[in-house]
Amino acid sequence: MNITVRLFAGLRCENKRLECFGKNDFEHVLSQEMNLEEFLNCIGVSVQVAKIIFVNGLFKPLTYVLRDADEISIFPPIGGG
Amino acid sequence: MGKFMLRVNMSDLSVKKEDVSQNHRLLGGRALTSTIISNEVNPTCHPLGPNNKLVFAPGIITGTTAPSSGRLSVGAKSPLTGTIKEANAGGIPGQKIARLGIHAIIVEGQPKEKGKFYILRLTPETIALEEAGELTGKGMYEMNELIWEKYGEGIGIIGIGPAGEMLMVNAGVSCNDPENSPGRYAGRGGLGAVMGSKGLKAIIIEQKGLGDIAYANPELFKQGQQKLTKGLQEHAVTGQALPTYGTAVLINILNEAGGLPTRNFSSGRFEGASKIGGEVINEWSKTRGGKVGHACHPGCVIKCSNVVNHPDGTYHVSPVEYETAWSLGANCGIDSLDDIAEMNRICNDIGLDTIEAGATLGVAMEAGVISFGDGKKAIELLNEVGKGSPIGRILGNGTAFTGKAFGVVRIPVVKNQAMPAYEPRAVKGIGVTYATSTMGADHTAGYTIATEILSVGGKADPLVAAEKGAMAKGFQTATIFIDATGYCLFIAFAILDLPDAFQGMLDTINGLLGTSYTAEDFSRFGAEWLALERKFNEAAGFTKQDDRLPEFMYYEKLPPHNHVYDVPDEILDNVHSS
Ligand code: SF4
Repeated sequence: MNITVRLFAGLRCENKRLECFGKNDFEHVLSQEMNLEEFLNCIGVSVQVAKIIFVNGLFKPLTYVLRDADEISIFPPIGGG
Repeated sequence: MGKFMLRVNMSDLSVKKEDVSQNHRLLGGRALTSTIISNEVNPTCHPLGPNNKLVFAPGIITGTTAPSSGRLSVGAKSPLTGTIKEANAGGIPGQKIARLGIHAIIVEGQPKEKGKFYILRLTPETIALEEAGELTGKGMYEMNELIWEKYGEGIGIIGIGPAGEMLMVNAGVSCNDPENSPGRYAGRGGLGAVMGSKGLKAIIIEQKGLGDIAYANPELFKQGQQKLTKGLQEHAVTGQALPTYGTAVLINILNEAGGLPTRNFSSGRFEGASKIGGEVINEWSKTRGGKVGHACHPGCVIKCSNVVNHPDGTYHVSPVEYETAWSLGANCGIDSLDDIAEMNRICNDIGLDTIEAGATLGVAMEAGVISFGDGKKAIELLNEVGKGSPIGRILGNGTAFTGKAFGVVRIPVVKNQAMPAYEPRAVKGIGVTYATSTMGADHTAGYTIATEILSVGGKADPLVAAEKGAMAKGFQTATIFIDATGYCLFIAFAILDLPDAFQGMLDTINGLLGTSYTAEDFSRFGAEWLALERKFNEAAGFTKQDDRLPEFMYYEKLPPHNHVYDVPDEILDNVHSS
């Protein structure tokens, strides 16, 4: 299962064992089914920091189960005007 | 020191001090400008004629040591929208006006000699109108430099560029920042043209130190100040995101949400978004110099502002905001942040609102005047505005005017004012604010984006129409209250989430004024002041049919979500009547 991941505003993959370590824009292959919370754990980004998550442009909760070709965008708390 | 009002009559060039009336004593900022306009200006007057008035009012708390509290409100009947208008800005003039004891400045009348300009000079000893002389016709950068050279460094400057002098309805009112950049604008609604119509080129304020502000309950004020400051520092948005990335951090999130208006509102996604956002500005501050975490006035603890440099490390412009990066970037299909920065500088210099300027260019691009994405040609076009050439005069009069001139149907305005950087078809609640605000399309009038996109103060699905009427109303009433206080609207991110910070905000006001306002008063006053503004607009001829989005948004589907605007008219009609 292939997914595309974009992390913003300083977020990066923090898991040293992964190829995407240190990156904020990458393709990723999931070997097993997992939801967003499990995926965040996998890339070492805390659920507190990952405040806003879009999958394919729509807000999704941490319980959302990832599917093939999903595009995930993750933001920490941000604001502006 | 007692507070006073200043009445400046441009017809006979007199300046009078007046007592602050009982009705005005507890008001400030937008509440005060709108009250004065409502009481003194005929709603059907020509906005650029002798009967309109231009009012400057520091917020209630402006001039005190409360954090991020230096806003100055500017109000008049708007030549762009025909409605009542308030636009506010940071920078240093607001605090200085308040510290001189000036409650508000009312500019009225019109000089007999057309094309003659004056400056109003305010010092602790003198209040005087002087001829603008060599400052006439100058761009804001040169004017600000000349004023600091002549009158001294650190002086507060409120001014207009050539666009305001030429009475273009996209002219804004500039306030200088601590380094004398003219980039803090009360930009929206053409207030610069009203200032131009009064023959007033600038107000200069010579004031040093913290002034002599009387606190009714200094202890309560101090407690409030501490609570609010703590909240602003602790909240992740005001304490980390804004000082690190500035407001342009929103480019990517709106793009991901499919709500970043692109190429004149024909799409909600821009392929070049990642090149023009706050992350790039942050990166450049390390590689080129410049700055993030810049404060637009002393005492701001959030510091969302920035300084953006040229590739060679020399100064280019300050600040590049989200709205500007979007309007002159994504909305024009331009992905060069250097070109955007240059257009931003030109707008600051000529004296244009960047939102309206970018929306205007987007419409001109749609008409084929130049191509989408052509940054160099866009720079040339903007320069025409400053020259006052025929094409420049069309563009300087804004989005709706330009759309008409070139036969464009997709004109993204409400009450002639261009929509800012949030697509209503992808973020339904902000469309309710655009449609029903007293100001025309204005995101700051009721920032539903906080809950619809940023998950601050709650969480709502941006694509769903239901409940958005009540949400937009709630934000509009809360906003007008903050606009009255003189606090920067960005404190909202913290006070919406942190009850202690909210209480701190109230405590500072109560500590200063000796009042005992509660959260309920907050919305009660907000509703009263909004009703006052709506009454002015009704008397000016506005009806509920004006509280609509442009028609194309109801039939053109917006990619990527392919939604039309589907908030029913009844919801829009009920926002202010329920
Ligand atoms: S948060 Fe930004 S706009 Fe608000 S007062 Fe501070 S620097 Fe100015």
